[in-house]
Amino acid sequence: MIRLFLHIGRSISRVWIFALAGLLVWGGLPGLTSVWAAPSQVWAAPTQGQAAPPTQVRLKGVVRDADNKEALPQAAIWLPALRSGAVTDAQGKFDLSVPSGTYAIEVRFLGYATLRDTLQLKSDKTLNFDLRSTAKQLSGVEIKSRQREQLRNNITGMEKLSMESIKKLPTLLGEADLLKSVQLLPGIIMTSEGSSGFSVRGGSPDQNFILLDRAPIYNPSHALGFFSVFNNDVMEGATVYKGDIPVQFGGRLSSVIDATMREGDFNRYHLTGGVGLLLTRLTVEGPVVNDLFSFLVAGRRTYFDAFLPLFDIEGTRLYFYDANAKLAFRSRNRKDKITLSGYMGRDVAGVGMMNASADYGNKALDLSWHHFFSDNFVMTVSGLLSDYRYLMGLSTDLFNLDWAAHMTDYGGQADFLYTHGAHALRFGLSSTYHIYDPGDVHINLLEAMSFIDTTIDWSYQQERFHTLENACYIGNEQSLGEHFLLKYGLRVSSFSNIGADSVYYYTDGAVSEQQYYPKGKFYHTYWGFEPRVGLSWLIDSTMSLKLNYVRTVQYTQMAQNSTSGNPLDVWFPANPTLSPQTADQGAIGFEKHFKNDEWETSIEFYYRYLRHVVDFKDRANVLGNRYLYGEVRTGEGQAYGMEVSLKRTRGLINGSLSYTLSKSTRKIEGVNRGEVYPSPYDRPHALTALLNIEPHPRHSININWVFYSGLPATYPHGKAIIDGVWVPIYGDRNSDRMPDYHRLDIGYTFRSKPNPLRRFSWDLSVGCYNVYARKNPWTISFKQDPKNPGQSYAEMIYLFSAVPSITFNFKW
Amino acid sequence: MKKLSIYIVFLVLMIGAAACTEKINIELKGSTEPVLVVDARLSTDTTQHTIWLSRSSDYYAPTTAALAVSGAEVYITDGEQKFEFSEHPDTNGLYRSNERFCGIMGTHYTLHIEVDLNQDGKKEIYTAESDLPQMTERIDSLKTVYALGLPPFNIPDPKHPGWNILLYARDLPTKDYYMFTININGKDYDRPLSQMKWMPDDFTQGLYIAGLPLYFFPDDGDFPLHRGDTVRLEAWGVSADFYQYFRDLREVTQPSTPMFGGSPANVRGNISDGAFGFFATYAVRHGMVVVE
Repeated sequence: MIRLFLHIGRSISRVWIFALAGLLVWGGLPGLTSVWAAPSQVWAAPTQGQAAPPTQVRLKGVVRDADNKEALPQAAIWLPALRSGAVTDAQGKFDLSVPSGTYAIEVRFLGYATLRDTLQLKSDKTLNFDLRSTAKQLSGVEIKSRQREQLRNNITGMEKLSMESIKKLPTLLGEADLLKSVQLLPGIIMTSEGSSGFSVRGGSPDQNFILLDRAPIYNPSHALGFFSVFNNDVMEGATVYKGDIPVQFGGRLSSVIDATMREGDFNRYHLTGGVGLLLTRLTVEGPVVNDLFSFLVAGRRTYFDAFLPLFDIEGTRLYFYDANAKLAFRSRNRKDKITLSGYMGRDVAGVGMMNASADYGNKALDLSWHHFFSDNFVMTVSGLLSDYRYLMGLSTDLFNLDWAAHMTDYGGQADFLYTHGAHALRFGLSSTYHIYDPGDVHINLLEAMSFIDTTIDWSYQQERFHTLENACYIGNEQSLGEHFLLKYGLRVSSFSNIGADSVYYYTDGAVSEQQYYPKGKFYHTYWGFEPRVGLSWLIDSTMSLKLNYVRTVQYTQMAQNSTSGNPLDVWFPANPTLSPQTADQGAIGFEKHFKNDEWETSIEFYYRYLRHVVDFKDRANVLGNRYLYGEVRTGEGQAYGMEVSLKRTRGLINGSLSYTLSKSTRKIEGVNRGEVYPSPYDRPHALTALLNIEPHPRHSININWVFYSGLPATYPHGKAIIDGVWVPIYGDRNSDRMPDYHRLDIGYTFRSKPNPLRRFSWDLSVGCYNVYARKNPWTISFKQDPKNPGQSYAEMIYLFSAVPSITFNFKW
Repeated sequence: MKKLSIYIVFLVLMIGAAACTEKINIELKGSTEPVLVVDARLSTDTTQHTIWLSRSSDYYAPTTAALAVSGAEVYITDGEQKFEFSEHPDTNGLYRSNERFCGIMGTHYTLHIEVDLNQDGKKEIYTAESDLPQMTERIDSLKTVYALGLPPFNIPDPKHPGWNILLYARDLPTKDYYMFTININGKDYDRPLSQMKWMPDDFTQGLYIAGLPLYFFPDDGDFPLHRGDTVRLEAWGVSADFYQYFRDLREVTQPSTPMFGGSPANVRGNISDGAFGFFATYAVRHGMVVVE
C-alpha cells in the first residue's frame, strides 16, 4: 500500500468528507506537534524565463471555517496566474510575497467549498478567508499543493494517516483502527494475526515509538491486540516515520508513530458515536467558553462478554473500556494555546469460579503550552506521564496468588521552531524519568490447605530499575534555491541508571556478583550521538529524489521472545551489563507523478545496520525472572530492502499497490553458534493492494488484499524416541518459515445524504475480514499421533476464518 | 509454580479467542546425520537396570524397530566398580545390567557407550556423568480421601467428585526436585516419562508434607478408582539437570503458542559427543495404599 494520505477532516464534516478520495491531501496536524508545521511554508513552482518583477507585495492572513471560525491549517492559497501559492500553518495563517498586480486567487481546503476571488495587490495586504464546509471537495489545487509538498519534503519513508483514510479500510470486526492501518503501509507488517504489534523494516515491535499526544504508549493493544488503544473518533491523525526519524524524536530504532488527539469544537456541541458487533463508543465535545475553551470526552466499552453464555461460558469477565479527554484553551490573540489531554484504558479478563483475574491497561497524560513569540517562532512546552501496568490475581479458600507489574514514565520537553527565510530551525530538549517494575509474585498458601501445618507467604521479588533519559537536539531545514532542500541536525542523548537499584553482573551467563546502588545514585550513564542528514532534490514539478542518513539509539527494550505479543510486557533498560542498541540507516527514494498527479509512483531503498541488537538465549524465561539480563544475548543485525508503490489518487476506481522486498538478519554470539540467521520478523516479500470504488457520494466499496511471506520459524529436523515418546530434534533457530500469509477484506459503506444544512449524519458499514477464509496459521506444532503412535504430523492453530462485521456510526 | 501461574493466566486470556485447530501439511528439511539417542536410568532400587539405545530419524518417518542400535558395548562405573550391560536377546536396543545392583545416594556414576553408529568400521565413544542425589528416608504414608479435586494441582469442582491420593513425608531442608508416578492394580498410570508428575520443593523445603493431594481421580474421568484398588507410588528424587531435562521433554512434546513460547529449542541432555538423551541417576521411595 501505500500511502493513505488523507486529509484530516474537520470535526464538523468528519463523517461525510470523502466522496472522491480520502486518499488525498496532506493532512497537516493542527497543533504544533507536527514536525513540519512550519509557519507559512511558501513554495513556488519553477517558472521559466521569468522577468524580474516590478515590486514584491506581501499578502497575509488567516483561513478559517466560516461557521465556527476555527483556523484551517494546511489550507492552500493558490494564484493560478503565478503557478504559486502558500499553505497555511497550524494556526491557519499564511504569508506570501508576490509581484504586485491583479490576480485570481483560490483558497481551498478538503471538505470545504473552494473560495474564488480576484484581488488587486498594489501594496501589502492582510485578508482573512472564511471557507464554507461542504460535502463537495477536492480539486486540483490542494492535490497539487499536497503533491508538491510531498515531493519536496525531505523525509523519506514518512506517511501521514488521517482518521478518514483509516475509516475507509475494511477491518476485523468493523472497527476503524489506527494501528491496523499502519500495518498496511509499505515496509510495515503486523507481527501476527490480529495483533496490534508491527514490525517496521524487519525490526522488532518494541523498536517502534508509539506516542499519543507526546506520551509514549507502552502497550497499544486491547483484547490481545484485536483492537488498539486509539479510538478513531477522537484522533486527529498520525504521522508515521519509518526510519528517517526527525531530530526531535529518539529512543527507538525503527519508527515513530506520532498520534494526536483532536481538540473539541470551540463553538458548537457535537455527539459522535458508533455501535458495532462488539463495541460501542460515544464522544461528546463542545465549548466551555465559546471560541476560547473547548472540551472533548470519549469512551468505549466492549460487550462481547455478554455473548459468552451463548457459548456455555459462565461467570467469565472479558471486556475492555477506555476513555479519552482533551481540554484546549486558546487565547484571543491566538498566540497561546494550552491543552490537557488524557487517556486511560483497561482490559479485564476473569473467571468467576476460580476468582481469577487478569487486567492490564495504559494511562497517558499530557499538558502542553504552545506559544507564538512571533509568526515564525513557536515554542511548545509539555509535561507528560505514561503508565502501563498489569495485575493478575487468583484467590481461593486455600491459596492466593497475585502478580502486579508496571512501567511508568514522567517526562517533560521543550521544543522550539524558528523559521527565517530559507531556514527552519528546530531545537529543544527533553527529559524522562522511567520506572521499571517487572513485578513481584506473591503466593499465600493458607492454613486451610491442610498439607502444610502453617500459612506460607512466598514471594518472588524482582528488582526495579530507575533511569533518566535526557536529550537535546538542534536541526535545520534549509532551502537551496528552488530545487534543493537540505536538512541536518544532531541529537545528543544520555541515559543514566539511578539507584536504588540492585544489579546482577554475569560471567558466562551465570550471576557472578550482585551490586546495590543507593537511592539517587547515578551509577551508570550512556551517551548517544545521533546525527540526521537529508537532501531532497525536486528535479521538476513531478519528480523528486531524496536521500538521508539517520542514527538512532534505543535504551529501553521489551523482553519478548515470542512473535505474538502478550499483555505481560517486561520492559528493561540498558545498564552496566547491557549496552544500548543503535541503528544506522541510510535510504534513497525516487518519486514520480504522472497525469497531473493522478498517478504516483515511488521506489525507495534502505539499508540499516544495528549494533547490540537484543535477542534471547534458547528457552529463555523472560517472565518473572530476576536474572533476565542473563537470558539476553546481543549482537549485530542488518536489514535492507526495496519498497515500490503505485498509486492512483482519484477517479471512480482509485487505490494503490505496493511491494516490498527485504531481508533482515542477526548475528549473535550464543544463538545458532554465532552464525547469521533471519531475524524473527524477516518477511522477504510483502504485497498490499488497496482498491476504493466510489461510484456515488453515498456509496463506497473498499477492498484490500495482503500477501506476506511467512515468518521465520524453528521446525524439527528429526526425532528421537525416549521412553516410547517421539521427541523432536529442532533445526537452527529461525531456519524454517511458516506458510505464507494472505487474506482479502471487503467493506461497503452507505452514508446519509450529504447535506451541509443538516447536523445529523450517519453511515453504515458492513464488511468481511478474510473473505475467502484463508486459514493463516497462527502457530504450528508437531505432534505424535495419539491414535497411531508410529506417526507424527504438523498441526496449526488459526485464529480467524471469514469474519463479517457491521457498524453504525453517527454524528450530531 | 511460576509456570503454573503463567498457564492459568494464559487460559484466562484465551477464553473467547475463537481459535481453531487443523492438521496442516508442512514440508520439513531432511534431517541431518542420525545421532545416538540414549535413555539410561540408574535408581536406588536393587534390580537389573536398563538402557535404551536408538538412532534419530526424519521427523515424519514412521516408527520402525530398525532405529534400535545393536552391538554396543555399555557399562556404568562408580570409579571403583564396573557394571557391565548386555543387549536383550529378543529386544534390539535394550541393554540390561548383567547383575542386579542398586545405585547409592551421593555417588558419582559414569556411563560409557561404544558403538559404531555411522557404520564406518570405527566405534564412537559416548560418555555421561551423573550424581545420584540425596532423598528423604521414606514416604511415611499415603492416604485416600473421597472429595472434590483438591488444590494445588486440581481445582475443586462440585460437579466432579472422586478419590484424592494424599502424600505424607518429610521434605529435606535442601533444594530438591521430585517426580512421581503411580501404578494402579499393577498397571502404570502416568507413564511414559514425560507424563510423570513433578514438583520442585520451593514451598515445602524442610517442612513436613502432611497430606499433599498429589493425584485426583474423578469418578467420571477416564480412570475412576474403586474401593479395594491398590495404588503404588514411586517418588523419585532427581538431580537439577535431570529435572531440567524432564521439563524440556514436556515442553517439546506439548503444543506451544506464539504468545508465550519463544523459539523452540532442543532438549538439553548430558551425553557427550552430540548424542541425544540422558543418563539419569535418581533415588526412589515407594509407597502403597489400598483405596478405602
